[in-house]
Amino acid sequence: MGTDIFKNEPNLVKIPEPVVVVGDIHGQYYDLVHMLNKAGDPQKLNYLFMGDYVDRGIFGLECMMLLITIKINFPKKFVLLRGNHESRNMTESFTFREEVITRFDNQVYDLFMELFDALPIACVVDDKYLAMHGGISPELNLIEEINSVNRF
Amino acid sequence: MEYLPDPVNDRPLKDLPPFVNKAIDDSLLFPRNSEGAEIPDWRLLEEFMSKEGPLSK
Repeated sequence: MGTDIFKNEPNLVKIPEPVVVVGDIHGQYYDLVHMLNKAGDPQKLNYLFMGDYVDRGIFGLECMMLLITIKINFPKKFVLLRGNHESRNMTESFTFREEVITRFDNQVYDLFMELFDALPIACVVDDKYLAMHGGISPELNLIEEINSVNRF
Repeated sequence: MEYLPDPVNDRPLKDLPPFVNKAIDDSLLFPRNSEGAEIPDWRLLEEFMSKEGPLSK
């Protein structure tokens, strides 16, 4: 269900203000819960997460489960971008692959990788600000070019 | 949610909530909304995972 929502989003998503912009979570589930309680109800606020939800911390699975569940509830108000850790390469080198395989199996890991492949890569906030995880390519000249990237 | 039982009443820290020791029931996690869709209850899942409830495939 979650993967299908992301697959239907463009590479460059748009979100209006007011918005809560959130940086790396890195498997810190209790910090994520605390932040959501502090910042406000996702039903009433827009949220923009800029990637790196997994690896390093030991609750990457919980972080992903909660973020995807909120995304399913509020698909337009809750934006999840892809960070460099939402990839096979990084999750193999860091901790998320082992976390998922230890607690579940390879099939679940592959499903997460399919979901990561479907995450959008950048966001325009209120037609004013450009947000993404890691910076702008020197080959990028026009913002519209982001949508021409084949992220699948 | 089913909390860890304390059958002989010997939990030393009774002022702390007990852990959840059983997987969450699908009927609680996926309630039907007014349109009949089964949308996951994110608040329940947040609380469940905060109490270290076990996740199942």
